[in-house]
Amino acid sequence: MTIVVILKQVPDTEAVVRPDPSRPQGILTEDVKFILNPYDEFAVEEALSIAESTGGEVVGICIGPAEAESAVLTALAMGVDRAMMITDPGAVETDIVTKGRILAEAIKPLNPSLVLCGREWIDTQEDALAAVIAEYLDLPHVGNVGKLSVESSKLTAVREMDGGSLEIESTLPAIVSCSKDLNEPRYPTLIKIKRAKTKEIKSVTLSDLNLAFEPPRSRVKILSSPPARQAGRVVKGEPDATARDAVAWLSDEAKII
Amino acid sequence: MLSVVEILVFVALLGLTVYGFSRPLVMRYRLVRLGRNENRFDSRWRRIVDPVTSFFFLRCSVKKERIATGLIHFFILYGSLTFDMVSITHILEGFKANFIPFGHGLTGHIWSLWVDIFAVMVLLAVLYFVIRRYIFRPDSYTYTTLDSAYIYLFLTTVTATFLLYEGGLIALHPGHARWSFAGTAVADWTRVILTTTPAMELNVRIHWWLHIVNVFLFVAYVPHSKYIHMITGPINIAFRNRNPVNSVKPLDIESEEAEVFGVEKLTDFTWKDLLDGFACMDCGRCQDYCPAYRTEKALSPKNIIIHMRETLLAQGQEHFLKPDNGFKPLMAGTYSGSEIWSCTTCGACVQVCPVKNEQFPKIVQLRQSQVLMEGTFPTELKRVFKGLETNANPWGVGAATRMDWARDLDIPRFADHPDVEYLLFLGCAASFDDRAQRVSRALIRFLKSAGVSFGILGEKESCCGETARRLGEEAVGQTLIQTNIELFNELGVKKILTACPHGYNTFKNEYPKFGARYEVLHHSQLIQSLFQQHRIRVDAGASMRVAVHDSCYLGRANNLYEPPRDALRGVPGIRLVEPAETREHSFCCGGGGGMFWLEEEGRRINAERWKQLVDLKPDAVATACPFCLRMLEDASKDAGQDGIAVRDIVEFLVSVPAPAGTAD
Repeated sequence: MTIVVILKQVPDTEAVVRPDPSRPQGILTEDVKFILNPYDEFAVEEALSIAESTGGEVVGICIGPAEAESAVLTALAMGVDRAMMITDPGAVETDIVTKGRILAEAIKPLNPSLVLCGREWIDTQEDALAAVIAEYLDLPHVGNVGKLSVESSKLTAVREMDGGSLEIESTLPAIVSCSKDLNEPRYPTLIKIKRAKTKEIKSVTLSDLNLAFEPPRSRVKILSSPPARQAGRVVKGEPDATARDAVAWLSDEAKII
Repeated sequence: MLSVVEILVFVALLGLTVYGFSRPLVMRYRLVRLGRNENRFDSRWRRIVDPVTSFFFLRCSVKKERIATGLIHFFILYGSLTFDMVSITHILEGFKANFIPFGHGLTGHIWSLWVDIFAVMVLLAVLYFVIRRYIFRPDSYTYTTLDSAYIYLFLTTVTATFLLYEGGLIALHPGHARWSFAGTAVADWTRVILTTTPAMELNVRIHWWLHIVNVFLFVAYVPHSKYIHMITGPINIAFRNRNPVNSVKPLDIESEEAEVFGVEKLTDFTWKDLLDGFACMDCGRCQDYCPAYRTEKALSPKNIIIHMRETLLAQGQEHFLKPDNGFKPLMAGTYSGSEIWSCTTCGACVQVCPVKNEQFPKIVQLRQSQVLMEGTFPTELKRVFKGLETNANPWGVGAATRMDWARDLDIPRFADHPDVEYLLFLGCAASFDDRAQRVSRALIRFLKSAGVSFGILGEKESCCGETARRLGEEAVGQTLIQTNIELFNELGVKKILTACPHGYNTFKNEYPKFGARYEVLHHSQLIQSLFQQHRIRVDAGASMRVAVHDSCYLGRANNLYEPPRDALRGVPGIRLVEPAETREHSFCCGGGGGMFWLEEEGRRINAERWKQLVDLKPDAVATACPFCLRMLEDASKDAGQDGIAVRDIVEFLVSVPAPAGTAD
């Protein structure tokens, strides 16, 4: 059984992301640490544990700049067998539908039984990728999965929702996007990081996939930070007086009450 | 005089004894040699002097902990040495008629008295040990009780048969008595029981044989048992760790050949680690002082050593028979996860061990293999490791927000003022823990008012690497160390000042192993010297009883007991009170060794320490470590006793208003 995992590099969850003044759709990357998209880690873990029980190969595919190799290495260190990287600017800087199409072309020759990816990218908060790939590959798609079991020709998945859960059955091959309830991703140990460096990362270009560059039909125009929080106001003094002051301020100035 | 047949029997027994004694010794030597190489041959002079003085003055066991047992050991040691001599004279007496050790002169008289005194003392000492071990049965002695029973039996039979032999001899030849008071008493009884000369001659012959057979059995038994420590103890002290106590040995993480990082199986330990197993006499002092054991956790430092020894004896001997049989992973059978993940690396075990065993460093090495090879560790730690890796702090909070707590403060940056004297390394706790942030505020106000010239790194500051290394994440730890060293060198840092004992220990004792030496100062040392130079003065405040809590990494690890006390003594009105377990016996707060980040199993260590401190009825508790501060303050809240303030030493010197928006 071949399992494909889609990988993406994103800024660390704790990073302070600031727009780049010279490039309105980009961010300042200085002092920002990049990591493997946390939801993709759940996908990697799930792929590895399925491959461990059923046997088979796990292949990672990543669209991203050359620097995204560190995210691919994380996945390889976790145990992914080999990886493909598509670094063409035409693939990196395009919209999600085009990315899905490129990934679908890259996946096709591998003929996988299962394609896994994270339920969303934590940077741009896009969550359509799995559905797009499913469309291009004409595969069943199960999104936002919190529990997964795979048999030889079908899978059973559970999606948690408000006030209940859905148990979904699908034929294989299929594409599944993973939520954080799915598993506890393994830790990339030093010894595995060292071994990861010897694993294959194949560079794939758009022309290798017989695709031509197409300008993106939708694109990010401006990236902006939320407005800075206003300073709070401290009211000091005796409780009776401060309560009166606070109420007066809330009603007269802030117009809240 | 022995007959020819008796001489032949004697020679045969002697041969058997030599074989019985040397065989286990040779086996143990071979077992120890299974360990990895390690150079313990530096400072040779001290390595000769230390074991000799430890042996003859019993510096090993005559220490504050168990002083009575230590002193009674004197009788056992000097009794044993005396009876070694007696064994020689005893044999000579068998071979040479009328041989009298040291003759009838003064030397002979003194010798006869000396031997009898020690014969009696050894018997009394055995009585003490028997009562203690089998009647009072302290928890530390619940292991190898059979070993002890044998040795007590041998000590008794060897001494008793000697006295019976000596008494029999004196009964026959009263002139032999000299000052043998015990022998004379036995002789009186002998004469009552045996009336004829042939009977008395036979009696002497029987007891000559009984004594020598018992001596031979004793000698052959020793190396099979924990009493091998008579030999291995001094050797272990000779090869003791002469580096700072709490400094993790750097692993060569760049190595491409290394198959194992850390200790996975027995043969990953060094020969010195394995030797520890044979030097241990199961006394249990380490266990008595272990904060994890004392709060009913799975860990006993004694078992770390004993279980290593047992595995070595079993797997090692099997390996010699079938060399193809590999060694099993230690975490499969020898040790458990709850054992190795409850050590606070407080160092109390190493501190109190009479033979200088290195208990907790083994735990760190086991953690290394679990983290670097297996990826098996308590799940909470993944966040810690990832936080350290991506944001250079164990809280995992964004590195860019490191100075957010100090937005309202004007703190000079080292990079802008390279001529300042100290780099003030705040550390992670001081930057991300809200309680420790208040200490940072007090410290900065203090430094400014005392006119100390300093600068900070700001957002460029990274964790010193301490937590990662103690948790076995050597790769992350070394990356942090390299990052810091590069930055320090680029900025030209020479003196580092820090309020965190963990950072202090790491910069002082671990960075040099990575080629970076700085003058490192803990803030307590700076305050101490400012007082000594009369450069600061604190106005008299209210009189206050302050209980002192020693940080393990300041005290045991670096022998800094006076600086925090001197800092407090400089404040008029403060009277220091000390808990029973203080200074080198200080009981850990429970937060060291990365345990700050783990859910604690069973009773809480900080609650245990808090009880000890509260018993002193203090007005406040003083610490000099942000982790101790947090652990003890949490304990005070859990106990509903937060009326007793827990403060860092610097907070007794300056008062700082709470920053806006926090409750004080």
